[in-house]
Amino acid sequence: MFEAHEELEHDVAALAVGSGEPDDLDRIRTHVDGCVACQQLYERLSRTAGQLALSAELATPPPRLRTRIVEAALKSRQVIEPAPTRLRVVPRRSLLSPSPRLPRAWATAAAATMLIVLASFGAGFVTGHRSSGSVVSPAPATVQYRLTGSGSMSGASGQAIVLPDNSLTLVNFQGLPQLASNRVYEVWLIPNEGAPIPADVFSPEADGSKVILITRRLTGFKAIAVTVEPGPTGSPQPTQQPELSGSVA
Amino acid sequence: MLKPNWARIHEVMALPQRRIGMAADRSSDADLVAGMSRGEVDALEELYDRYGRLAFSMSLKVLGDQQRAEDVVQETFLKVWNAASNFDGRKGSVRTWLLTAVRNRSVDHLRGRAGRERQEVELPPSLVVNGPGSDPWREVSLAMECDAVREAVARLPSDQRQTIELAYFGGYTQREIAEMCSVPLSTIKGRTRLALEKLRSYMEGKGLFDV
Repeated sequence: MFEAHEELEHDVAALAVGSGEPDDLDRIRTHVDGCVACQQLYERLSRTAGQLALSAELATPPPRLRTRIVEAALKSRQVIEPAPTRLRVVPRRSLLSPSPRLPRAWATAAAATMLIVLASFGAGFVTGHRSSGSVVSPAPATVQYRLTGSGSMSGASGQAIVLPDNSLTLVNFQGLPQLASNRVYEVWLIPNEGAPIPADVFSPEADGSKVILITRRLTGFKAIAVTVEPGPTGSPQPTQQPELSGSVA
Repeated sequence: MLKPNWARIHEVMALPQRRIGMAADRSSDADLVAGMSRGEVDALEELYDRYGRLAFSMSLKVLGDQQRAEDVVQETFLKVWNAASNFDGRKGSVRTWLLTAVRNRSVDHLRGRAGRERQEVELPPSLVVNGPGSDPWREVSLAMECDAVREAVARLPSDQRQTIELAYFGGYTQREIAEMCSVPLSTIKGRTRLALEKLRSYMEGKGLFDV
């Protein structure tokens, strides 16, 4: 044991910094698990190695990443913990088995996930006012708002569905015109006071539809609006008048 | 239907934007992980707001590719979301747990490339900016911590610093580093150990709590 300890002590540092030889990892881990001194050394050095991440220059991820993560998390949790059968409003297979490589399928999955979430609250969809619940069980209400287009987006529309606790809003767009490859749609939350807040950027599917999730509470906002902005990341401020918008007050 | 007054909106754009993050900065990291284990999306969002930029920066440094870094950060947060109930606070902080997972996953992505492609570690200057919507106190604290870690790394002897950076950010094994530097494997093992011990000593002296 002592000889092994002498031989393996330096390998503990390699394990901590993640540069151990793949073939040796099991041997080192086995030793660490059984050697109190090396276990303490490993914990100490791995915490130090973990701090090395802070030496990277800070870069800002695009806003879409936050939305992507929440969407993926919701989808994942729904797969792991499916809603009770009696609350499913759409055939489960069609909801949870989309091909992630197909944008249209992904949009469908996101919408379906939201529907399942809404179904899990036993909620009915109500336009412009709060519902009194569903026939399945008493439940918190959801609220739905409409976005309507004008001008070049006169054929476009949107449907915003807010979760009962106001934590998530799904917006289902239809009839969006296709954009040049260097342009994207940007969604804005218009506060009661102050500048518009960018909520998401996206490109529509081939059929002009798109489903997005807004992961911020709508409290304090009076409208959702959409503009066309330079891609791929959009603009920090709107550069044009919105031609698709709706009140959420 | 309400029509936004864009002229008015543009007038007030010079004003600082309000922070509209969903969860107040009221929970510890461990509380957030506990919330995630209960399926609370707010907790995931708050954890992302705290460490998403750090995780992205870390992955970008390893991969040198923004899109791939985004993918890694998403995969990692998803993994944390699904494995939140397995988190053991006695083994380290949530931040260390998360960043270690990001680093390992980034290196895995790097190793997946043909011929073990490597990236320069410097970031494009345009990406080195401060992010909006963060808790200012947390930002200041993080900036100070980052400065201290960078200073600690910069104070290492060049051979130890090179060894650590090749190992941690480059994803090279000890044997590969030894070959690259034309020194015995035992020398690289010694440099790694020494570098980590010096970093720890320096950081402790600076009062970094997470070491």
